[in-house]
Amino acid sequence: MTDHDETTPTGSATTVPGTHQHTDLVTMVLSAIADVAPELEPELADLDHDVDFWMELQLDSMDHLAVMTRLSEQTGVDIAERDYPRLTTVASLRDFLAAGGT
Amino acid sequence: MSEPSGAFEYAMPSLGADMDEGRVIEWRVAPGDTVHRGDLIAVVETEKSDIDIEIWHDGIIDDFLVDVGQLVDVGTPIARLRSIDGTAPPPRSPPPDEPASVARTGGRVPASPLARELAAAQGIDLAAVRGSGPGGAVIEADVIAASTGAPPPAAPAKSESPRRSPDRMRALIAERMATANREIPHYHLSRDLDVGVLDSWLAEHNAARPITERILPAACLVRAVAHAASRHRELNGFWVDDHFEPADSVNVAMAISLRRGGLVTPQIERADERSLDEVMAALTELVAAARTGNLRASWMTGSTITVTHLGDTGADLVHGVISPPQVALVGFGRTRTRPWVIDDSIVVRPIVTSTLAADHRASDGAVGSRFLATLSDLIDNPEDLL
Repeated sequence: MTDHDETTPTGSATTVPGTHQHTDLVTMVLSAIADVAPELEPELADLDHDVDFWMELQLDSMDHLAVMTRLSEQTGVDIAERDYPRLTTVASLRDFLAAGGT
Repeated sequence: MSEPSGAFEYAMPSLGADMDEGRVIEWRVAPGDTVHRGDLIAVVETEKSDIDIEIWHDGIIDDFLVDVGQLVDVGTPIARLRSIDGTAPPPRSPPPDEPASVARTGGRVPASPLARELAAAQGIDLAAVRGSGPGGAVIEADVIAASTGAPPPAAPAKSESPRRSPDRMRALIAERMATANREIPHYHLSRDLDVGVLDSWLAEHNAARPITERILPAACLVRAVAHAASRHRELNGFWVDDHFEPADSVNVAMAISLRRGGLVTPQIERADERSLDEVMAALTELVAAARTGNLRASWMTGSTITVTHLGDTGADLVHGVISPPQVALVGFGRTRTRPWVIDDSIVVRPIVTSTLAADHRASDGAVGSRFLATLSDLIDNPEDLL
């Protein structure tokens, strides 16, 4: 639990900003969505990275948690609930993860 | 019932009240393998989903009786096994869950509550079970033994039958819902829940936890329903043969919509006995399995009440249709921000409308009202849900 210390805004404890290239992170976000919602895979190639994809793809709260859990586990970046409202697009998730959760 | 050698057969299980046939699309075991109760032995394709099926007792696989891809009726023997120690096994086939067979559970056959529950959940006619308990009462072991019995006459394999399609699933849902609306005199109640306290309690609870241990509001609602159903037993059980059979535990079926269309209703068994964390874990597992087509057979039968949660992109409330032989369905609409009166002041609160569809043969509106009041009380005191 202490691995993901939310009170460390710089993420310096366990996350290494810049570990992942932006393109890797986009791929990671898209595959997390595809894992959780396999039927949506054909739509992902054309997904606009700046739209609210939760709404666009009609993902529900269980899907949301499953995607966030995958991304958190794969990157080691803690994603707090209070950050959810600004993480609605592929681009915002990418930037957030690239910065190690800030 | 069984052959002297301890041989027994495993039959195509019914994986829901609307399943008549299925096909093995993959064997997870091979002849010669030793299997134990609960092991997954095959993947069965039904109209709705591909489902992992479990063996119900220990044994050694002797032979498969159907080919992969062969469509057979529920009850058709699909594998022959022998018991590990050579003695006659407690033979049984998996539970037929057809309401038609559940509906035969009539009369007052002397039986233990557990046997009664098991029989009701599995659609076994208690009157046809030989009791070995005190005074000839049917006990759990008798029901388990009886449920294999002689398998129904084996139906010849059907060669022509399309793979399941959205149309086929639609037809099944249509048939089931038409039956429900024709036979069940529904009554509908609703009550608005102020989920503000729950939301803040959850936010605080979750902030201290890693993402894998966080709780969603949906799990709290399911937990609250299970709690309330265990207190208002007239809403938890089955309407069979013109009378209500209460269930001893609360198995909450979750209506989960599939993105390709249609829905499935796997259950969280004994949700009334689980902690909030356990309900959350079970819910996560069910939804993931439903969405990726990996449902397990044991999730598909024996549910005693159903919950439908429309989610935050859904409608405000749902007037549900009960899934027979159950007698109640609880619905939750999306969360809306509404003006709300507290102590004569108007405040803005997050509101979820809860609804109850209940079978008027089994209960009256007063019971349903008390149920929703209990639900509301639990949502107001979320620490009681832990």
